[in-house]
Formats: sequence, C-alpha cells, structure tokens
Amino acid sequence: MRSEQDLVEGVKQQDPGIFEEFVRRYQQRVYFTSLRMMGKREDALDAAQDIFLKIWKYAPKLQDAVVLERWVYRVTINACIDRLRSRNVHESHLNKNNVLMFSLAEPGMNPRDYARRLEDLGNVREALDGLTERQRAIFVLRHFQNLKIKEIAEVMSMPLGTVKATLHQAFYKLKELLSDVVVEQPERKIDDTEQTG
Amino acid sequence: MRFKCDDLKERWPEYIYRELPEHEQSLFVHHLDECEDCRAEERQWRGMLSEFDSIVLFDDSMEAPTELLYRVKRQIRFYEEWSKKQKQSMRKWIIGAAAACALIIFGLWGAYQNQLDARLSAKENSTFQPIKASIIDSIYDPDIVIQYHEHEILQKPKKVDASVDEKEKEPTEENK
Repeated sequence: MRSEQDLVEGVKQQDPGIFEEFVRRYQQRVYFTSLRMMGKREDALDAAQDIFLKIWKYAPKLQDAVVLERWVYRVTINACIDRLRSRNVHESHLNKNNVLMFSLAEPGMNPRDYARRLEDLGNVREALDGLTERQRAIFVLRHFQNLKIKEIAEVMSMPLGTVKATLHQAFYKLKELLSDVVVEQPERKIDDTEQTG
Repeated sequence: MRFKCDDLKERWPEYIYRELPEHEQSLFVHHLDECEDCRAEERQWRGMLSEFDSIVLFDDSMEAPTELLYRVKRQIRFYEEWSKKQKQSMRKWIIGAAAACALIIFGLWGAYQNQLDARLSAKENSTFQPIKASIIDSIYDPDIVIQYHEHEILQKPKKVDASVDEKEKEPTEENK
C-alpha cells in the first residue's frame, strides 16, 4: 500500500494504476458523502463518478502540500452542492421505496413496527433534505464523516465561526423538522473522559 | 464562572461532538448537573442524532457499489479519447486558420503590389498635376498622401527645370 505522498504524486501524474488505488481507497468516503448529500443511490453513484473524473482532470494542478483527504472532500461537497442546485430544489428526491427497501428489519419485528421504522427513517432523510446545501454539507461532514469543525472549515474554505454558526442552524432546523419523530434518549452518565473532551 | 441555559444554547453542537475547549466543557457539564431543563434538551439532541446514526448503521453494513470503479475507469477512458480528439481537431483548426491567414496576407500583398505598379506606370506616362495641399490635409486623405509624396519624389527634377525655365523666360521678357 502506497503512502499518502506517493499517492498524491501518482494521482498528479495521472498514473492509471495509482489512480485506481486512489479510487479504491476513497470510494467509500466519496460515495457515502454523496449519498447523504444527494439522498438517492443513483444520484450518488453519478455524482461519485463525476467527482473522480474531476479529480483526474484537475490532478496535474494539485499542489504538493495538499492534504489529499480534505481536497477530495472539497471536490465532493462542491460537486454535490452544484448538482443539488441544478436540480429542482422543491423536488423531493427521496424515493422511499428505493432508498429504504433495504432498511433495518430486526428479527421478530412485526410488520407494523417495520413500517413505522421505515417511515421514521424516511422522515430522517427528508429532514436532511430540508436543510440548505451548505447546512447539509456541514452536518454531513461533521456527523457522518466525523470531520472536526476546524477541518470542515478548511474543506469548505469558510471561517471557523461561520461553520459553527451553520452547524448550529442545521441542528435547530433538524430538531424542528424531526420533532414528531425523535424519541428522547435515556439520560447518559458523562464520564471523566467525555468531560475533558 | 458558571454557564446559564442561554450559554448552552449556543454550544450544543460543539458539546455533543466534544469540540468545546476543556474549561467550557466542564462548565457545560456542571450546568447540566444542576439544570433539569437542559438535561431534557440534551436527551432530545441525542435522540435526534441517534436517528441519523441508524442511517450510518445501515450504510456501514454496505460498501460503495462495485460498479463505481468500473464506471470511473470507463469515464476516464472516454474523457481521454475525447480530449485527444479535441486536441487533434484543435491542431487542424490552427493549421487551417494559419494557412487562411497566410493566403489572405499574400493575396493582399499581391493586390497592393499590382496597384502600386499600375499607379507608377500611369504616373510615368502622364504629366504631373501638382496639387495644393497641406500636410494636415494629406493626413486625412490617402490620395493626397500618395500624390503629395509622389509630387515630392517625382517633381523634384521638374521643379529645377521649371525654375530654370522661369529664369530663362525672365530675360526674354525684359528683352522684349
């Protein structure tokens, strides 16, 4: 397995073998980020394909000191935002039957519970649709891709304060959109490690 | 220093993701210990996020579609073929445009030479008609420029002849 630096070098030179390794290494991140941004598998697959093509095209211009992962996220988020904007904003792109047919059906779950679970999951995805592109991007990167707020600011080329404010807005909007769905979590004991962050 | 409920409102996302500075995290937790309302709000936040975690659980059980790599490779091949064709056609266009430019330039040059030759031969065969024009006029009228310069060039020897003629004429008048 090549080091990050070798990978950057190979991608910059458009070496097909190294690029294939790069795709294999990053496809999960690119695909699932796109899926959570776009909401639909077909759209996510199309977006991921375009993202890798864009990376291939612009790779020769890549700077040596670039952090590949952040650059990939930047291209991914920008491509998804562009696609979302070009799509009819009010069009609900959620195809519940398509997206959720594989959803979690636990053993022993009766059909009514399963249907309810399916509906809840649909509501959750719809709530994501209710966010603006930028709010969604920041929430997806923080919650699903587990990037730190500081890293998100670098990926999105935004000031740290703006990222925090946008994440805050996204939180309250999601809470509002999911008010009927959310079941309160039982109280958690916060241990010392959590307290110190 | 102690946190109030409003202080928490601004910091929920950072607290949930444990991104608060250490001392703020402690103040946050301390407030939670004392405030039932904020503890309830924390439960709501965690409940909301757990809904999203169910999506993560669902997604994590899968991998990116295997066709993605195939599609990317195919797309890159198409792109490379297309850009190669583009370069070739661009090269053809450039060569064609350069040839057309060269033809136009040579054509114009030939036409200019023909015209110049024709004018010179016409001047040589005709008597010169001097014109009264200033240099300023000649700037605005290309014909004047040509005639003026031709006059300067062609008529110099004639001017000399004319003055000679005048000098020759003068004594004859006096003689008369």
